[in-house]
Amino acid sequence: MIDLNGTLLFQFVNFFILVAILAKFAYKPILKVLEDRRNKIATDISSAEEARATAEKLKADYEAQLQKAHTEAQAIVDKAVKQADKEAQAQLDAIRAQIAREKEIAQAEIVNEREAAIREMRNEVVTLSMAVAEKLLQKNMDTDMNQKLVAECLKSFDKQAAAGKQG
Amino acid sequence: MELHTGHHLVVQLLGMNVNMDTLYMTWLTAAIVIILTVAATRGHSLVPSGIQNVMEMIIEALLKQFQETLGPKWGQVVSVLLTMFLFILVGNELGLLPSPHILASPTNDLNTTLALALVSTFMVHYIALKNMGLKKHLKHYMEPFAPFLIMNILEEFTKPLTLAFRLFGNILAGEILLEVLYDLVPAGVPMIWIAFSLFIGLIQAFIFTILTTSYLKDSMGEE
Repeated sequence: MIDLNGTLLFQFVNFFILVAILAKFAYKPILKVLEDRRNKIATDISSAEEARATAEKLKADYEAQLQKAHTEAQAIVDKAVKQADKEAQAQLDAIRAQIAREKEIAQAEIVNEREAAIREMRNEVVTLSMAVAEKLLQKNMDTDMNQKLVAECLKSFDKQAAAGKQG
Repeated sequence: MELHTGHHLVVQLLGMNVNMDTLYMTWLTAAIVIILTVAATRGHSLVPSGIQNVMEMIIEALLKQFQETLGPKWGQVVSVLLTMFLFILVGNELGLLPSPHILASPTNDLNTTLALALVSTFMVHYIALKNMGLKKHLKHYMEPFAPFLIMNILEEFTKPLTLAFRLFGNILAGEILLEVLYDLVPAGVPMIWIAFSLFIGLIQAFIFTILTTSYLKDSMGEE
């Protein structure tokens, strides 16, 4: 059962033949595949890390841009509101001025109308007075006399009126 | 009852007595190892599948051990160590196939295990000479101090002998017990023993390879 013989030598040689065959046909490709895979995984991991860093940078950029756009939009809105306020104020002022102007014109017209009415009324009064005086005197003075009397009378009226206005 | 296990078919070859059955089984084992490893590498796919996956898993686990123990020069001996593991593993498990008196482990012959142990010793000295030169290699026999020369020389014999006998004893005993169990209780019980022996076969292949690796550690010329 335990007898050493030539088998020992054969086994020794056999083993090295097996080593040679396997080293050439099996281990080289296996080790190469393992090495390739290790390299690929290392490359993949580093490129994934790179991609992650890039993505994070992009995200930060976008956020900054968004923030900037937000601020700008706010500024535009603020400016527009201010502009609108200003324009509304200007329109309001213009309308107020217009109203004031029209009021003045209306007042001037009222004054004119009143003065015209007064003048007309005065003429009417003169004519009426003349008629009453003619009837009372029963005597017709000549037209020149008439004219003179009227003129004097008017003058005194005017003086009274001027004094009334001043007084 | 006549035990079949452990008896060899002795033939005269080149003027020597040779156990032919052991050689047949050795060649069968070698063929299976070659087919397995070549099949595992066919296609050289970066994304492994099937048998390539299994082989790469085994080989990567071993490579990790080798790298950790041997350091940067592990490439010098990786082929021998991988072959050692695969050959012993496949050889051990072959003898467990239920084929009475036809298949037996090549490792149940002391000639095989001693030859493997001598390969281990041979590699230790060859790699040591290659890496450190004769002077430095001889010097380590005097370490830590001169009287250890006796211990160190003794160790040169005990190392391969323990390697050879450990493997031989485990496998031969396993096969003898399997044969006895088949005779005593043909059903059931031998299966349990086969399951255990499968495990033993793996462990023995691993122990043999790892011990050789640790013996090789001193040959690497690393301080």
